[in-house]
Amino acid sequence: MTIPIEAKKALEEALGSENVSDDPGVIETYSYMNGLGSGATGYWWARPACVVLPGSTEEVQKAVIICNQHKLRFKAHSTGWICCALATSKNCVLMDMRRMDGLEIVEPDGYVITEPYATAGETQVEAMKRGYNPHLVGAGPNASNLASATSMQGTGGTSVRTSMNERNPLAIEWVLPSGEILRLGSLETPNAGWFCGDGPGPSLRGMMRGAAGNIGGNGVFTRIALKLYPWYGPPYECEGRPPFFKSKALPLGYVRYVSWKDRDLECDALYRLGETEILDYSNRWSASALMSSLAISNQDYREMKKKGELHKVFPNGYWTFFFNANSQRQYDYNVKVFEHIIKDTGGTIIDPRDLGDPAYEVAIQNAVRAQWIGKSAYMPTGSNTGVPPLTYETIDQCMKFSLDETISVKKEWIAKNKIYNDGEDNAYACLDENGHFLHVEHAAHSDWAEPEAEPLGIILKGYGRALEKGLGPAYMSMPAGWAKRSEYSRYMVQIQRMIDPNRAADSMLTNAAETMGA
Amino acid sequence: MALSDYHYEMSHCHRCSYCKFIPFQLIKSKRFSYLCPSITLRNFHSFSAGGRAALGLAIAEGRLDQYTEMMKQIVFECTMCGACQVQCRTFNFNLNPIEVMQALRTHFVEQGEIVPEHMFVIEGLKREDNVFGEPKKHRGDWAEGLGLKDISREKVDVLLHVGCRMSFDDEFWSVLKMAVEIMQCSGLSVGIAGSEESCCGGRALEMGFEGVFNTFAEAMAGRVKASGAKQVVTLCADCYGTFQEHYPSHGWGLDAEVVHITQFISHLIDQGKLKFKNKIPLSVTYHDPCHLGRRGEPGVQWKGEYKRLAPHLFGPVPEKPIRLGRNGCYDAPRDILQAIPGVELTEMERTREYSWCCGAGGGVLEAFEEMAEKTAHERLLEAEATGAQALVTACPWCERNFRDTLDSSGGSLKIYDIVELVHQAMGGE
Amino acid sequence: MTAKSRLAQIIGDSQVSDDPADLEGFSTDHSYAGKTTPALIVRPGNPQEIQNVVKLANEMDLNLVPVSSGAPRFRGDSVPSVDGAVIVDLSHMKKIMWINRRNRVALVEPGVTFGELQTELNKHGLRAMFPLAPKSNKSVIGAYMEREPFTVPKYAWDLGDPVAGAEFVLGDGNTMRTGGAAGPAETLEDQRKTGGAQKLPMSPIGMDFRRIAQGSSGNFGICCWISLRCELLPEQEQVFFAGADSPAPLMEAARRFLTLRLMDELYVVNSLNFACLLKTSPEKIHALQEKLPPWILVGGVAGCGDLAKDQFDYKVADLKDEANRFGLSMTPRIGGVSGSAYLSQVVRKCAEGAYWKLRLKGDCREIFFLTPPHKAAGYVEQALDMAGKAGFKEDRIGVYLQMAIQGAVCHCGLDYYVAPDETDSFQPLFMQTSQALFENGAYFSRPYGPWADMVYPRYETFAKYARNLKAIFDPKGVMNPGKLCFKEN
Ligand SMILES: Cc1cc2nc3c(=O)[nH]c(=O)nc-3n(C[C@H](O)[C@H](O)[C@H](O)COP(=O)(O)OP(=O)(O)OC[C@H]3O[C@@H](n4cnc5c(N)ncnc54)[C@H](O)[C@@H]3O)c2cc1C
Ligand code: SF4
Ligand code: SF4
Repeated sequence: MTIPIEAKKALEEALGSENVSDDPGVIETYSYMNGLGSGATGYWWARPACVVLPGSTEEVQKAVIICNQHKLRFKAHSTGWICCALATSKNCVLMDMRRMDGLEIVEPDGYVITEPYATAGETQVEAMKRGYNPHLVGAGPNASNLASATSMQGTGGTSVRTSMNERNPLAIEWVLPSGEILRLGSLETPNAGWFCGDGPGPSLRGMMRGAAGNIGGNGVFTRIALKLYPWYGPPYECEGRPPFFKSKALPLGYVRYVSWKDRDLECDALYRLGETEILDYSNRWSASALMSSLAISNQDYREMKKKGELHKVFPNGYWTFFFNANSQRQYDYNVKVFEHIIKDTGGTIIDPRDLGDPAYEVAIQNAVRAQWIGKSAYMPTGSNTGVPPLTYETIDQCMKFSLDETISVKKEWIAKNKIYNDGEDNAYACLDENGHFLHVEHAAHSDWAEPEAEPLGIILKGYGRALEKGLGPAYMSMPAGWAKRSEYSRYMVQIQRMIDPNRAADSMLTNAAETMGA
Repeated sequence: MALSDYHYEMSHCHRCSYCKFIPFQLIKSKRFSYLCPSITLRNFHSFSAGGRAALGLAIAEGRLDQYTEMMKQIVFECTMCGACQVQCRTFNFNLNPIEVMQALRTHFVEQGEIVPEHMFVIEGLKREDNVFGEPKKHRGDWAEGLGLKDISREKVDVLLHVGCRMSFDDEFWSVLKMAVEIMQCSGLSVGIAGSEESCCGGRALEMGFEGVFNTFAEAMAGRVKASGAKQVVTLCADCYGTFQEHYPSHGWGLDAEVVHITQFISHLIDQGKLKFKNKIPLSVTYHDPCHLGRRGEPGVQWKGEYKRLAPHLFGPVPEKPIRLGRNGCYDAPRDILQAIPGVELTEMERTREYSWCCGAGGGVLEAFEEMAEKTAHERLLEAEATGAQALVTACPWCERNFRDTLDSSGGSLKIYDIVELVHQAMGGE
Repeated sequence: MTAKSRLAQIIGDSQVSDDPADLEGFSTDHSYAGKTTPALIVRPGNPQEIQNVVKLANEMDLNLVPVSSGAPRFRGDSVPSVDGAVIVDLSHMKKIMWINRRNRVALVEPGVTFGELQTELNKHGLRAMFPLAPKSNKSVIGAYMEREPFTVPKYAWDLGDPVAGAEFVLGDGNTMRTGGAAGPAETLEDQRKTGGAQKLPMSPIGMDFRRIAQGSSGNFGICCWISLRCELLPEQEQVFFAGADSPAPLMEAARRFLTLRLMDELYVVNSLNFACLLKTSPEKIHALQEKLPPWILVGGVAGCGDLAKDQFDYKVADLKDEANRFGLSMTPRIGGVSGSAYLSQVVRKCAEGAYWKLRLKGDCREIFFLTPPHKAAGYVEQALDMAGKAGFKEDRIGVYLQMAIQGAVCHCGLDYYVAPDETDSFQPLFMQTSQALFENGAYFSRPYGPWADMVYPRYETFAKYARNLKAIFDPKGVMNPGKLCFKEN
């Protein structure tokens, strides 16, 4: 759809003509996405009517009001790492938030005020200089922490210490689809600042998101504060040459790969490790995923796969565990109790260095900066889709029930060559908050150049399986879940109508739900 | 290769935005975390490597039925600095953005979608063999009275290829003369082509004029051969990058070793042939010219296609060289600076493979003034942030752009060509 | 039929009361919320009865005020704001529905108190997160639903902790489960068959009703039960103290200890509150107070799980080093009170006998708010200064500083100990102090009673959308009307 001339003029007046474009070339570049999720539907998405670059909350507000006035929709796009940042309605004004990239560490309170285009990696660099560490989602240091915390999911290997991102926001500034600016928590108290996001009284954070966010359907989050966690010791630094670089030593850092033959014992160990509270990072993945990180080309990857050495080392997936201690005593205790638990549960500890320098760098860079997870997710086929059951719950539920459920779904798809054969078990899991809960999901790769690629079906099948088996509430944020659980979804729809009387927000979920008749 | 030959690559950009940032492992501050001057200026994703890959894909798939001025700007308002390539390729097996962007430019030119300012350059090249359209006969004026050998008349050990910028921008003539003096320490015979020298062709290629480039590459190859030189030395990073990357990847070879002046000098120091008498008490920072660094990495001509290696697994057959800029020239200039007594080198945050571009390359200086200036300004700010008194570089294009930007923005930073410091330290006038 | 008889039909005659003495008990409290006598008290015994009551309220336009804890009450949130209100007294719903050691979780109904819960948890090697020495009839759900801070800040990731799942009857009479309890399997038993334990704090479907309901004084619905996250009971545990003349250095040290996760219990109190926690009569309180430094950091070091002793030992040793860096000495005894005595009387204990805030003068008026930890001392100083100028003696003000959300915020509790007949005369100072602190950045995150009029005028858009939200979940406005920003509903 082309944008009405008056609407374009109004946007240009509000934002400056250099920050508004409906050029067909620009539009095309915002319609493309081959990556997470696009595995399901192909790499071309809806063309937005126009792309704008707001530079401040006020500009966002103006743009939202213009969209309301001209019966256009809008959607925020932070770094655009994931498909849902693209338009899903044809009359959508896509708001690329790139000009809003501010990030301010507030000391000594220990939080960061972040704008949409400040990435998790940049935040970490600035935070570490001051002895803090932000949460990083597995998506990587290139993702927007604001987008993750307000609108997406939010889990990552550091979740064992830094929780998942739904739980990290403090104060929030939010341009509602109605065009009003809502400020949550301490923000409107004179001279208070951004240290709290709940209240006064009820917490309207609850209408922002649940286990998953509303992926752009709730308006635009323009600034939020996120709490930071401690980082002991010197800032983490790398030097050397690409692609793997070389990490400078962390004097009291410890990273190991661990695998178990027995899933029950693996779960026992995870519970016990969680209870010791020693971990700063925990992440399960597969030999296939590790090879994707280590390889430097598809040929290289294919050779590794042929040799099968990593599959021999990690036939049942493996965990990366990391901690960074504050004192030698703490370090010694951590190592002792770690080794004790792994031994007691029949696990095998592997020093990543024994698998070579790149393996060590992948381990430590993932543990600290979530550096290579994205590469594992996309390489070698170029696209990936998370296969449900995507479960957030206890260690037992995720590891003993959900994980194998997805494998059985994947087997069928692999057999028909609809997705890539990654060895089936490509389950990605992270502990949260000292093991109080866990998140698991599976990667399923496919390449659109493969004529038989058909990954959408596996998502639907996975959702079906999740519903049938009663696994994990997180997926219920997806339209397939809405249909089944209208006792939730109708309230969510009412909330959306309340904050968005003109249906101006381009809500992928609502659009999909409508398409599915949910 | 034609744009359509890159279909697989273009459809395998993952929208990760790595090409917009220096590696996250190396970021030292939010302030200097951005990598790509093009998107840093225009902010639309379209102005990044990923955006250009998507644009290329849309064109290749026939999704666009017109070329607009904005599209032209997207394609050409980029310095071809190659930083995106290095960053993308650490992560993505299946895409080489710099090649895609090169193919896009060639495609645009083939479609007649030409930036008018670039046409001046091309016309100048065609008429006078240089990018400024200056009278060719003055190309060797800088060397008058130096008694340098003329390769059209005698054989030489070393051919000094001066390049368009230094030949016609008389502010650099003194630097050239210093370089000659330094080179003479080697005891080798050094010659020039004088008014017979012509452009390396790099600019034309990066502006999308592949045919023009080929003409100049052929001429250059012929001159080198005829000169009998074992080494071609240049002070210009642009020429260096063209010889190192573009010539081989387009099937042109020079029958001589291509040496940048910094490598030449560094070698002289190693051999003990160049001694520094003077102390230069100066804190400096060094700017890696893109075409000396990451784009100075030797190119290889690749002819092949992406093939199905296994179900859902595709790859270039034969394997494509992995271009991470690792083999560019980074150490020689640093070794030199470290060898000069009194000079104290402090690195900027974005260096080597991930150096921030000066803003002059890829046809930007000629056509996109704002980008050239803002890009240089950003680098000057980064240099100032190190606390250094001077910014040292090793390319006249970088230097020109820095100087001009400094003139308009003001500031106390001094700009040096590395040759100037070497000359001063060896006791030259 | 009258409301009373309809209610009696639903939950039984004996569970509905309009006995004036009963009603009187809910008509006022130790706050400035005023006095309004409810019309009825109902005591539903299970979630179904709660739902029936709420449905009836919708039908008959009754106003419901849910109450879980027993008296004394301090916040005014359970004092009706409108005439004719029906108190929904949940204190009789005392089921501890499930405790699971492996998943460190317990499910409790609203009437379960901290003491009752901990007694059961002890048997499983678990502990609940206690607010500071809650009154013996303090409901676990009552505390958590109002985001009451608890004493182990390292376990407070979020202000809504430690609630995981929950079941609510919404204001419109529908039920909703949140967090890990939301399913997809319908029943808790079915959820457990696939390893679920109602552990997830976040809810499905893009919103989180539990979060909305927390801090709302029951304005969105009634909580029937929650699953709460528990922690391991320490195998080794010791309480240490550090004293100082002012709170600032102690808060600074406490923030650092929290950063290093060296302590479980971790807070700063002044000598008066410390003494009130331990002693029962004014004389004994004063006698102890005299032996104490003016400000005290209380820190419990614990060793839990595998190699608990090793963990405990390293923490104690590290704590010594860290304390030295702050020029503090962490001692196991202060003013004659030993750490073990404190452990046995205060840590994970409810106040015995009279609630500790009423021991000194018979009444207590609380001012509490949130602040960044490093600013807490400044607000305390400001409040004490104002009190001094108004002739209210500092030695009648108790202070409790409790960090939460991993140190991002600090709950500042100022307890003004007044005699019952002084409460009216104290009111102006109470309001002036609140106002001055608010203007200076103190965040009244739970703006009960008269604070609502101070806070919400600054939160216009917030209040508007909170009301819109209420209209979705409680369209007839039956739930506790007139509180917080819901005065216009
Ligand atoms: C390879 C890969 C791996 C991933 N792994 C994980 C993982 O391990 N754990 C996890 O939790 N997530 C993961 N994700 C998803 C991830 O959470 C998001 O991609 C990322 O955190 C969001 O940041 P972004 O910059 O990519 O946001 P974008 O892609 O720009 O946006 C993401 C969504 O948020 C919305 N949005 C963005 N900014 C705003 C705003 N300012 N206001 C309102 N809405 C906004 C967008 O409309 C979009 O729907 C992964 C994604 C990828 C691509
Ligand atoms: S061009 Fe490369 S680095 Fe840039 S977004 Fe695409 S895949 Fe990522
Ligand atoms: S070549 Fe340089 S300017 Fe052009 S897109 Fe790549 S990084 Fe940006």
